[in-house]
Amino acid sequence: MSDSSSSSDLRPDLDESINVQDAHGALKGDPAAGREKSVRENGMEAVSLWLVLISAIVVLAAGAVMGQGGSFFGYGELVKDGYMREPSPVPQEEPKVPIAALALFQKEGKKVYGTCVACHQDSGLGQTGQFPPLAGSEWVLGNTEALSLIIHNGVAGPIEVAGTQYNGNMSAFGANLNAKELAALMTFIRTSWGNDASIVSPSMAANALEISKKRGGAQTSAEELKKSHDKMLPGDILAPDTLLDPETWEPVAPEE
Amino acid sequence: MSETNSTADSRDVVLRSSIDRSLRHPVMFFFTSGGVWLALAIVLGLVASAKKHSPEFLTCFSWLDAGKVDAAHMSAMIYGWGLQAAFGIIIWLMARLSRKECTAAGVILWAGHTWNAAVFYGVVRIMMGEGSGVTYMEFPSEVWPVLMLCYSAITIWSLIQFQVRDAGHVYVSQWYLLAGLLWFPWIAVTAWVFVFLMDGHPLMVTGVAAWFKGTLFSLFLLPVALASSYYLAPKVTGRPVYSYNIALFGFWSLAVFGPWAGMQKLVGAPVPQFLPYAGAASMILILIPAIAVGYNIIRTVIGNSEVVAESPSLRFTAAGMVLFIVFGVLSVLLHTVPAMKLTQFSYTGYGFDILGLYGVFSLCAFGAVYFIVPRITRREWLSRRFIKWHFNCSLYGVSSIVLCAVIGGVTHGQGIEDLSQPFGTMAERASQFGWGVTLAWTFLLIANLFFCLHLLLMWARLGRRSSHPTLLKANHPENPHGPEGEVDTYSSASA
Repeated sequence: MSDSSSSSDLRPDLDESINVQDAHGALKGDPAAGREKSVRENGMEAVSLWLVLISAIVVLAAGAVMGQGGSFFGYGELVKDGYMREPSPVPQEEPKVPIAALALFQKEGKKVYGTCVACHQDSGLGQTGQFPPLAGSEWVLGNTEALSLIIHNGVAGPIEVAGTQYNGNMSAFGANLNAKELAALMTFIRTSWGNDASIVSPSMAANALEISKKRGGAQTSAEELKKSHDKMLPGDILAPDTLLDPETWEPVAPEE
Repeated sequence: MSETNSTADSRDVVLRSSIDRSLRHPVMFFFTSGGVWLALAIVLGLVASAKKHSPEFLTCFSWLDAGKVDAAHMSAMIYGWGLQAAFGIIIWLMARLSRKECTAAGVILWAGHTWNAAVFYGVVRIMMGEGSGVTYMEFPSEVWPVLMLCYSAITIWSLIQFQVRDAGHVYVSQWYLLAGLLWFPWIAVTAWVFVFLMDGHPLMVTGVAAWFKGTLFSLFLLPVALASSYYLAPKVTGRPVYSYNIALFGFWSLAVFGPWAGMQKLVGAPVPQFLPYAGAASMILILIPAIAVGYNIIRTVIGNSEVVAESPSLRFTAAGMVLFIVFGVLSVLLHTVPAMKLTQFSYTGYGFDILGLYGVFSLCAFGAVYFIVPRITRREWLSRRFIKWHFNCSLYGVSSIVLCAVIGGVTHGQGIEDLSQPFGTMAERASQFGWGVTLAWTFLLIANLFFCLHLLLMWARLGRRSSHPTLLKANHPENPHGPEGEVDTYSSASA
């Protein structure tokens, strides 16, 4: 096209207008190329103000996002502060539904038993020759007043447990126990490891605290227990399946 | 009209048609094989989408496992259809705008066949479970050098044509084509080196792959789509581009913001903190070129609503430009800090990718195909109904994607973030949007079966021999393809 004197060389894509007849004459059978219009010089409208304004708003929005990304080219900052997930919003505390007395006392009693576990062991079997077992012990399964005093005041001197003679020294644990804890602990050891004795209710445990208070703080002995405390604690009797409020331990009416 | 002008006209027409003829085999090859790959990609997309809400669908074929079919779907869509359609547009448009015939059609055609073989091999390897597993670079590592060699053999001639063009004005479309031609090797080679050659940290591989994914769209497919729009809008309406200044503004804003796109996918990952936020900011800034270019093109064609409605190329291009603005606006909303948590792992990210790939790039590419194919085959499109079906179903499909995946995906993301609910509740709630995406792919499948069939008929040289273009007229009193003599009224309307 270098020999063409027309200005068409300066235009990007051919002509102003097409003489369709001539074009068709020159190009038999190629109508599509012949009927094309040219791409003309571009219009020279200025960049309008609103386009600049919208761009400015977009730049602001982008800047706001960039601003939250830490310092630019800060290769040391890896994870944005606070981007880690919040802990699950699922409530952690258990629902306050009534619970059967036996289950509640066993659960709470097991916590209190944490104090006893060093000597009497998880299995409740004690240690041969040193610490008497609780499983199958006539002191545990038998009368509760004696049991409560052993726990509350401790016991010293010779004692026969499950056919074996022991001569140990168990210290008093009563100072740290309230009636509920004592009731739960006694129920736990009386109903675990194959033991199958009755529940000790909180009111019985409260009476046990009274008795111990009257008696004074010294350690007991097997002899004394056999002589003057070999009886069941007085107090309300609680059936194992009574529904209790897990907070107050008061019996609740079963829901319909 | 003077005698010299008339001679120049017919000389121009001869040049145009000789350029078209020199490129007819490679361009037609790229468009036709691209169309077939697109139909295949959509079938795979349908299967992949169905598996997301009905996991037991087609479980009897292990090569159609969810992970494989999803990777094969995106790979076929991008490397089978997207890049091949872009090649067809680039080599034709650059030849036309540089006014040079192509002298290497044979080499381009060979490279095109090799490209197709490599893509086919890659897709088969993915289906066998031997893909690389890197997003958007799923083909096994040996495929990439072949693709890059083919890319060079296909596009080097367009750079040469630009270099040896007759001196003069460089048209807007040429800026975009030239930029895209040079950007692609940069991003592809960088990504390939960091992902496949260097034995780097897996997080770095993920980051580079995310950057490649973002920039493949913003620095290659998008510029090609915009080049085609800047060519077709003034070409078909016969009016000049509305504003040269806005065109400059739009081009340079894309050139500055585009390269930062991509890393926003890694927000919350232990990469340097500013990287994902810079990616998000660049995705927000995409609205600036979107508004500038969309406004410029729409102002160019506005007032010629009849031409826009009747010309298939312009109708697709205008729709693509409107969707580009929609893409830009959604991009701002989806990349704000609170929204990013909701979009990162939900349907939204996928839907947004498809909106870009199909709604913006592919609609513009369809416009170019409808313009170019009659010129290189010297036949007119057979059926305006096929084109209408293609257009309408495409729009329904893209709208369903936007509604179900992009917007529905935000509530999906809220479900993922809501830790008080079990995961199954969220999945169940999201499955309705999954059904919506499957429906969208069904629309797109119908659209592209028409497109693919139409294109294959044109490729088989079964198009109409006529001097009248196939226009999308509503009623046709005499001739189903419009009354005779419309060429004259058509061109005088612009005078």
